[in-house]
Amino acid sequence: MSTDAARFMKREIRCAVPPPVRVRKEAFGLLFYNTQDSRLTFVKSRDLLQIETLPHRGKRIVASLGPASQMKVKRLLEHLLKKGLIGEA
Amino acid sequence: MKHRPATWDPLRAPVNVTWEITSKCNLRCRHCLSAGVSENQSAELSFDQCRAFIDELDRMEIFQINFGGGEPFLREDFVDILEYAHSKGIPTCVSTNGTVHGASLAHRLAGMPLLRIQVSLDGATAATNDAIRGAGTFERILDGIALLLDQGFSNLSINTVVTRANYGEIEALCALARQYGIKTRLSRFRPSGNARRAWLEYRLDSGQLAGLSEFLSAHREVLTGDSFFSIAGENRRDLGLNICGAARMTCSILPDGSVYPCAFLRDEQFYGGSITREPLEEIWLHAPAFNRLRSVRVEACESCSRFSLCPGGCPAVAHFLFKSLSHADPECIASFRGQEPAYAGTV
Repeated sequence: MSTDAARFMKREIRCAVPPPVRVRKEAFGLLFYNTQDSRLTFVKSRDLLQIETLPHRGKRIVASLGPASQMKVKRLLEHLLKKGLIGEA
Repeated sequence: MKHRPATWDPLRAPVNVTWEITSKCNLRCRHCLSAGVSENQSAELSFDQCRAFIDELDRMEIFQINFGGGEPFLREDFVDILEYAHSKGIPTCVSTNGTVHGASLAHRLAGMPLLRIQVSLDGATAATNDAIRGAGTFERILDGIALLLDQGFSNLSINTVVTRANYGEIEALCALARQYGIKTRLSRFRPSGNARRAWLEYRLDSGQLAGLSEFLSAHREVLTGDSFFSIAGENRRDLGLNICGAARMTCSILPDGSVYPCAFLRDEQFYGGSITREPLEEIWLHAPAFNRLRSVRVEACESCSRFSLCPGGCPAVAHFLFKSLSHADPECIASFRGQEPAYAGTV
């Protein structure tokens, strides 16, 4: 596979975490907490989703879209978007 | 059908901590969970120790600190402690008796967007509330609520511990909260502290527990702090946790820095350690008392149709009444349909 093709096949998506939402890494994946309603969301993503810390305490979710994980990652991101735990990429 | 109990790898940190920041209190409530359970009532962490602990909570990425007491606002540096937590971006929730706020304090609190306040009120009438919380407190609590609202603090709820004394006023309490434009939160009466002595007088009977279950199902807007999963109906399943969070999601810090799995499990056998001697992370991950609680199975409940709603219920109630963590919650609605809850009366 050429370098360009490999880059295309392993694309990264970054989604902002809204200010009222907190997130941290756990062994099973990510644990979200919505401070507005105190609800927890357990996301069994293992290492498919990572957290990137931004200046001023902001966070982003980083998803790697590899050929094998692409569908699962997309489903996870859609789920998180629907629940308001991440913003649009 | 026998249900498989959930297995838990411990989270690497609690979701939240309940931190009793002081033992000092100006009231002597008959059901106080904290009264008389701390060996050294006067020992309190210093402000520097509190700051260092908040730094640790921040490093551990704990999502929220729930402050209680005693009466937290009787600690002179409490607002500074709140501000320090907020400066780290950590939301806080304070349980207060609502009787010690002045206008300037309320004004300062109104400027804290990361703060929620629960004001304790145990009756919709002065007669009911004051019999539990002390003479004259009903009016003072309502004055405290009005003061906070007047100063622009709106992230506020009334918190009521449901007892036999106020069960008949729950609807009126909710109406009272609506008059103020705030939410109602109902908490479970559990036999800890003073409540051990008042248990037989204040505990709900089976008819009241069933009635409360129906009320909660009909009023999803009423908050419960997850303490009623033993009687919660199917339609509250999505409103919060339906499993005991002690040592799994949360832990309790006492004024002197002692750590326990839960505010209601504070016998010596549940002592996890002290934050003055070791990091909370060590206690959370390795304290034998915490791991013991995580491994509790309530086998008697595993064939119950409600098991996924209430996997055994509250171990603290089972411990105090039956001296066993793995006994089914005596207030689980499925266990007493048609009969009185099987209280051992050993409190």
